[in-house]
Amino acid sequence: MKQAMVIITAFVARFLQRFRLPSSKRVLVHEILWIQILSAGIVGAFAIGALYWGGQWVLQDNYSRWALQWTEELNELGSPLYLSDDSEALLRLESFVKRYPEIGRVAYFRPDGAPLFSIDGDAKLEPPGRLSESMLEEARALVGSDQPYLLQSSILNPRQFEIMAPVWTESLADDGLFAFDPAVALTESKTELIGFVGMHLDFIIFHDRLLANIKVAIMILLVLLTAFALYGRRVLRRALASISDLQDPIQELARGNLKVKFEPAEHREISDIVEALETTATALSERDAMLMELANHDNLTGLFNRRRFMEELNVELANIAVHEHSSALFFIDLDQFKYVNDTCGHHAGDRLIRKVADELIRSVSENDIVARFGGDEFVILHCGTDERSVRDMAESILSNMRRLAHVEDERVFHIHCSIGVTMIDRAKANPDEIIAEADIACREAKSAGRNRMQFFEKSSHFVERASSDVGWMNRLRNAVDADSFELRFQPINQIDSGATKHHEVLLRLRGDDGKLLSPDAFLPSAVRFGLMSEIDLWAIRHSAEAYAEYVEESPQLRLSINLSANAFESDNLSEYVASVFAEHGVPANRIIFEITESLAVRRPRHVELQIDALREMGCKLALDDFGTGYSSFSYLQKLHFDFIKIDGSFVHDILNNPVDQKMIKLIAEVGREANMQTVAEYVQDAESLELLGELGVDLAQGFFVGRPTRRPLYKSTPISLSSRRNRRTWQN
Amino acid sequence: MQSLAQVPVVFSQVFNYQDHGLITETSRGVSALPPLDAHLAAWKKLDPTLARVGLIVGAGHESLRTEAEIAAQNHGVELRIQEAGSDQETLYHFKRIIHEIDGFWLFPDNRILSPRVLTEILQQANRRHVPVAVSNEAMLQLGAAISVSTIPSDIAATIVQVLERIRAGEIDTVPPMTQLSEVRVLTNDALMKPEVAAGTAESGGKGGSQ
Repeated sequence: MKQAMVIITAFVARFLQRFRLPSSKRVLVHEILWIQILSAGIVGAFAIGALYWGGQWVLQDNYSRWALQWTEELNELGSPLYLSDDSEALLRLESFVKRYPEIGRVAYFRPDGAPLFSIDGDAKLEPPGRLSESMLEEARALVGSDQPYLLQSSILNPRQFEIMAPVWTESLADDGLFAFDPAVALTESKTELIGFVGMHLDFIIFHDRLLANIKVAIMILLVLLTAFALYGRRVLRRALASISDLQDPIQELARGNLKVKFEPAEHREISDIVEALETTATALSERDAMLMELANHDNLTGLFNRRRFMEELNVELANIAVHEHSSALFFIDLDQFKYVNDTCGHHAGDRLIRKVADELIRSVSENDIVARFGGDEFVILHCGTDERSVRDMAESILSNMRRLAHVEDERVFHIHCSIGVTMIDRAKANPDEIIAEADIACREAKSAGRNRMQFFEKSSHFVERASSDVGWMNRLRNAVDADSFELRFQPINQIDSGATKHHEVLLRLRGDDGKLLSPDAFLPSAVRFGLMSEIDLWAIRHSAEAYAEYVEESPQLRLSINLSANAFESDNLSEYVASVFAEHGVPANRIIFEITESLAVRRPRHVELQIDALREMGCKLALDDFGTGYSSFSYLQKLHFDFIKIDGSFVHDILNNPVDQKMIKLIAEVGREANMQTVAEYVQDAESLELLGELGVDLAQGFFVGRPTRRPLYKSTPISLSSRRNRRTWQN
Repeated sequence: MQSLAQVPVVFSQVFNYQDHGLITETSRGVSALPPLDAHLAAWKKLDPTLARVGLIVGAGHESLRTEAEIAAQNHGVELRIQEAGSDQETLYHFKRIIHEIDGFWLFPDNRILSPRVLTEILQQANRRHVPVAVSNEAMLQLGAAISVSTIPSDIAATIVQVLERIRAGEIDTVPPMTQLSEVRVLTNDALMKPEVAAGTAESGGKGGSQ
């Protein structure tokens, strides 16, 4: 029964799917109710069907029984044929027929089959005719039998029956009761046929009663279903109220309100859902807070990052505009930080940075805002102050820094700093300019000998410089917004075959004089003003566009794109790359990303994750400027790069510098063992190219190989005979 | 019988003698049945509560009916007599009187009895606990409750008696049917009422003669 219910419910559900409304218009209560009603209706229909067919079957069975029962009344029924006084018999028969409305007629026939008389019930029947010979013969054959009747029902109307029975008298043998032997006496007797009696039975009345009852049952079922629907709707609404109550809080949660409250539920299932939702909201809230923390803070020191600091600066500028007080911005750059990094490694540098951050926090008041601007640069926003207080504070910081001793590898480092300060008043509204002024002042302090502070002064030189720097910032911002950067493509050729392997994408900016500016001219400003990550993303997008544009004419096209450390500040770099590639139909395995050695070696966790994601996409990775950083050869195996780009400083004087030759040879060998192809940059002539081939370098890039061009060009370089001897096939 | 017209004849064991023309100037009969008074006396003795008895008999037994009525009157029993012309009619009337009697007196009139009707009467009587009295011990097997039958020696003695009277020239004074004088009573205790069954005994009794 349970399985039948499951099947019925599933059938009903599939049936309902045809009439499924859009999800926005579907009401759970109604659906449950419809399923219940339809199931009940189907079960009810089955029940009524069973009632009808069962009733029919029972009636049919009873018809036969009743018909047979009346045959047992044949003694009574046949009485008009044998009674001496038949008046009483006729009266009895008439009342008998009237008592049973299903009796349509009782008819009597002579032994020859001629009709004698009949008693009719309510049915209007044709007068009985003479019995047919076949009927006579059949009926006569029944005389003396155990079942002396013929029972016929109509196929067309199974509720009607015809019964025909002979009526006969019997007598024992003369004086048979005297020498009485039961075994003999009961078998020897004389019979005499005295006539026939026939009955017409019609049970239509029972059938009509059954139908009437079924109609009543249907009506009752409909009334019950309607009542069930109305009551059930109410009950269901109440039962599902706890689900409905979740609607508003969930919508609030979807709108981002993580502090939404959920009402406790009465049902265990809903309680579980509520608990899950509260846990989710809490987790989302915590994650939001963490993301906000990450978005606003520097991972290493916990201080505000550049982005967050700029927001605070803008808020302070608004305060100054209202309250007309003065504030100051300190730009602090550590002196000789690179020395510690280079000497003791980047982990030591990180520890130093943290130490300095802690020291700066101790040096300022609670209202001041300290941020790490990047690398070894810090900024402090000192609110509501004057020049004298600023100077005192700067001297305090300098003094604290002078006392700061950092111990690494049993060595003590005294790290000083240079501080640039600019005052902020109502006249200044541009935060970038304020930063630039403080930065300029800091550089002036460094120029003046470091370990000191310098107020920003509007001398002509520094104004010009400030203007220049701020001008670069604006220019770069505009270049990004207006797509003013230009791309150039420089080939990188296989030394042994001379064939172009791939092209490096180079960024250019057109200067005021119309000449193209190299990245050296503007990238430092881009880094300083926090535009580098945007430029990186711009370069990726436009490189992908270029690929889509040129791949048709150069199906073997491959591009190598530079990524700065700033590009990895975003956790979504790989997703961005994937979406851009998908948008322009760029196969990931046709792109190489160049990452500087310093970033690769420092390899903070978030950078490593992004690099792994790019690799998983299918992109290749190249280690740029190898040899200039502080990595050892042991790192090469750990880094899992596809290419090592030997810094140009080793190639520049290769013909004359045996140390450079050794170095390059060593790098080439290590790269070969580590399954990485080596690329030599800044190849200027054929001799250098040939020598690089002899040393085992795989690829070459430089003016001799090919200059940067607007579109990727393929031009072979002379094949180095010596490199042929060292040639090894690389699978691409 | 016609060939024996001048020879005095005594017949016995013929119930429907009138149908066969057995009573002539020179023939006399001995009753086939035990004396009805003795029959009823024995029945009444066995079942003192007997009050209403039903009897169905065919046509032509007026003397028998009279004898039965006298016997019933003698023993304080109400007799319901119905005449029937066939076994069907016998059953028809039986069904109507069964509810009004305490016992049924089954006379061996073969004209109005058939095996089917006999069986039906005995079954219905048993269902309603109405004892059936018969004149044949073999009927006890079929469901009769009490048998009051003739005794062969009594039949023989009565026949001899009639023969002697005829020989003595007294044929004219001999009634057409001479009654027997003795009866033999047997019961089917399973069908008798419990209190009656406890007091049942084989008994004989002198009955009156017509």
